[in-house]
Amino acid sequence: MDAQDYSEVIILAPTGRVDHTSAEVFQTELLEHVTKCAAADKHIILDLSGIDYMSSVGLRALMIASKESKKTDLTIVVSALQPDMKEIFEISRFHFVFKTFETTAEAIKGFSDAAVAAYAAAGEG
Amino acid sequence: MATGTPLNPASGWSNHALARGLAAEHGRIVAVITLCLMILIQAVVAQSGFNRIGQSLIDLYHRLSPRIVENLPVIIVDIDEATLKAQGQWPWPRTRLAELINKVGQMKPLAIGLDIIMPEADRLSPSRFAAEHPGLAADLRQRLSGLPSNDAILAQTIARWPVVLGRAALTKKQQPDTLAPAPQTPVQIRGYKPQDFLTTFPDHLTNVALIEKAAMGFGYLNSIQDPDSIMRRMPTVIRIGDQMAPTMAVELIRAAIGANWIETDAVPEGITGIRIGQVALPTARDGWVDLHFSAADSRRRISAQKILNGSVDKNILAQKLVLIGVTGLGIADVYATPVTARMDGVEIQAQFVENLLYGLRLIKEPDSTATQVMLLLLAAGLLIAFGPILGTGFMTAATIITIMLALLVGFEYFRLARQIVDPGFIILSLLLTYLVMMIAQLIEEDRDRRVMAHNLLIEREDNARMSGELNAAREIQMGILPDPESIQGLPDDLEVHAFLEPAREVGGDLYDLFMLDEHRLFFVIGDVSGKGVPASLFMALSKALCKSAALRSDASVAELMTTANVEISRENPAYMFVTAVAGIIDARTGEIEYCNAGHDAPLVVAPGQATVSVDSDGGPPLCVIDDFDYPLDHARLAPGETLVLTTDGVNEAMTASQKMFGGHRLIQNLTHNADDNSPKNLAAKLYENVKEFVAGAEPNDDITIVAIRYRG
Repeated sequence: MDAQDYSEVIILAPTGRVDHTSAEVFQTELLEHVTKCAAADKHIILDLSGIDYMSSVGLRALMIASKESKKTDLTIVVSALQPDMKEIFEISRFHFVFKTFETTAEAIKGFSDAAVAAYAAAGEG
Repeated sequence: MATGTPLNPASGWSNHALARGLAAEHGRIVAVITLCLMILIQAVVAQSGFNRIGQSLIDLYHRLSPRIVENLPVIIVDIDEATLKAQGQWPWPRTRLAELINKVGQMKPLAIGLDIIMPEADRLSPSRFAAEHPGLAADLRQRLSGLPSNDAILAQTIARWPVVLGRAALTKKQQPDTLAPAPQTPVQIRGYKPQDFLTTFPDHLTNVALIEKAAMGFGYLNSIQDPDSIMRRMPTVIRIGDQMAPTMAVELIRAAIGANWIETDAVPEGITGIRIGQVALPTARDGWVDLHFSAADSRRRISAQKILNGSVDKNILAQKLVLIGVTGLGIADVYATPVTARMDGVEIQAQFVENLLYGLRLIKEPDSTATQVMLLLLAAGLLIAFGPILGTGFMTAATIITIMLALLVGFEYFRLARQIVDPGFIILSLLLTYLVMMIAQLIEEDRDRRVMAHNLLIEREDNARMSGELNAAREIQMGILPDPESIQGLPDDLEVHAFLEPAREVGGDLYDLFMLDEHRLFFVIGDVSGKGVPASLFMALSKALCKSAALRSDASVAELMTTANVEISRENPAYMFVTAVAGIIDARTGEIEYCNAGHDAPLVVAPGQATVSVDSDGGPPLCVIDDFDYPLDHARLAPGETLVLTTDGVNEAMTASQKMFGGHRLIQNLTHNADDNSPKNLAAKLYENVKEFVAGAEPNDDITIVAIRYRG
């Protein structure tokens, strides 16, 4: 799971399918980041552009990450859903769980100017 | 699967502490200890001299390869059964023995040895006879007393020929502090002093002095057996008290050669041999000779009777060494030898002479113990090193081959060089090493077998437990599902069917159908994220909470869902969630009020129309957001339309190559079968289609289909 720091924001970009064979690794890595970010007072943008498919076990990992984040001040938002993932999110109504954005650039605008600037400086904005 | 059972089955002989110790390091430790012990024992046995096991092997070689008799330098004049029959019982009057010696002497032998001892005067002498029979007439007694004694006659005869008298060495003194004085053949010393190596006797038995004075020499006749009562070796020179003295065979050769003395050759380590005149005769270090026996040969023997009655070739004894002995019945001078269980003492004496004359003794030097230990270490080392790797077959073959080789080498040494190389030690040690290694292997195999059997048992138990667990999960799941064919109070306007196929690793799908009142049917379909017993239990809990909430109040489905969410969330330590659609359909109108908690949208199948999904606001799956306020949605079935609810076991059914059945195939299938839309039929066709699509791939999620038709 690729992780990039932009000021107080960390962009996580997992790739591939998250199904019963890969969900455990996905969940472990995701929760590690959640714990780290909570301790470092940072926030997470989950860039799901690299995810083609996610089964219910993957959604459960997202749910656990959400529940963990709510115990602290950590914010998790989701961005750049593929069409299939968008459908999965719509069916399971996970937009109630996470704020979702069309693009990561849009997502980062909800954070500090420093984060936006860092993201822009990295040539991503 | 964790079990508390130890891997090593505690029962079984192979688990005994002794067996475990023996099998340690594949038996190598005990094998090495055994080998060291054997070498130690061998060192002690080699010191002590007599080794019964090794000796019996040499005896076997001896029987297989006895001495071949080529020359007959010794002839035995045998006072046998026939002689005694013709001449009267033994002992004879010495005049008769004198007659025999005289006749033998006339046949020109080189020497005559007597295998007879005459320690006392002849009681049959005329004067002795007269003295012992006082009743005889005085003149007869006087005449008898005037005759020469039998001993005197024998002495006269002996003096005429080269006769060697027999004597016996005694292991105990006859009378304390006295040793019967008797002349001995001089024994000279060459090189080192031999006395300490010779066998010493404290006393001896000699002949009547009169006869001894006439003899040319005196040879000791002792036949000394090994501890196992087998005669194998004879001494050449012994010690009688302080004096050295030759034995019969040596004296016979000396008399034949005409030498005046015997010499001993010795080195610091012991005696190397004796010399008689110019003839050097090698011996063992103690002056003994290990005899190489031939079988008793009848050509060596002539009956004394034939000599007495002159019925033999006159030249038969010419240039021979003659031994006169008694073998007739009742004379117990018989010994066991390596080649035969019974051999006459006189025959052994004759063979001793042959051994000496032709240098045919068996040779024990040089000591081969060091070489044998080396060979043993090599063979046993191979066994210990490679046995456990190459297996019992190798060990058996290697041991047999080595033993055969050792036996053969031992035999060839005996046969070709008359050398005593005893392979018994190698064979015994190797055999013991082999046994230890084999037993260790057997122990290991038995233990492996037990461990394997035990593991198999554990595995079976685990499988049984696992499948028991799965069965339990399946039973929980299936047991609480209502039978769609027998819903109590179902109005005629509604037709329902429900189908749930659990995946192998049981999932947590659920459905429920029951009448809230006479018109309203409550339905719910759900999917717990998770598998196995926890998911099943969670599913059961969810269903029960939904039902109790539904039956408890007149609240809307949305309110039910909100309440159920709160209650299920409270019981959810494992962070599971449930997607679900719950609704109430009114049999009078076809109206549906429902709520979707993160589940696939319900589908409406209408004859002659494309299947559509029923959109709704809905909310996230239950348990995802604890306090979510679920909204209520409304829909309405026209008469003849069917509401179809599925779980993702249907649209996410996958082929082996991970191709997904998908939502569009689901809709296509339902549309295709829309005209013949009995709920049962729709469910069956859909299920069939899914199975066809995955083409035998193992389903990894439960498949659930619920269909409700509104007849109107």
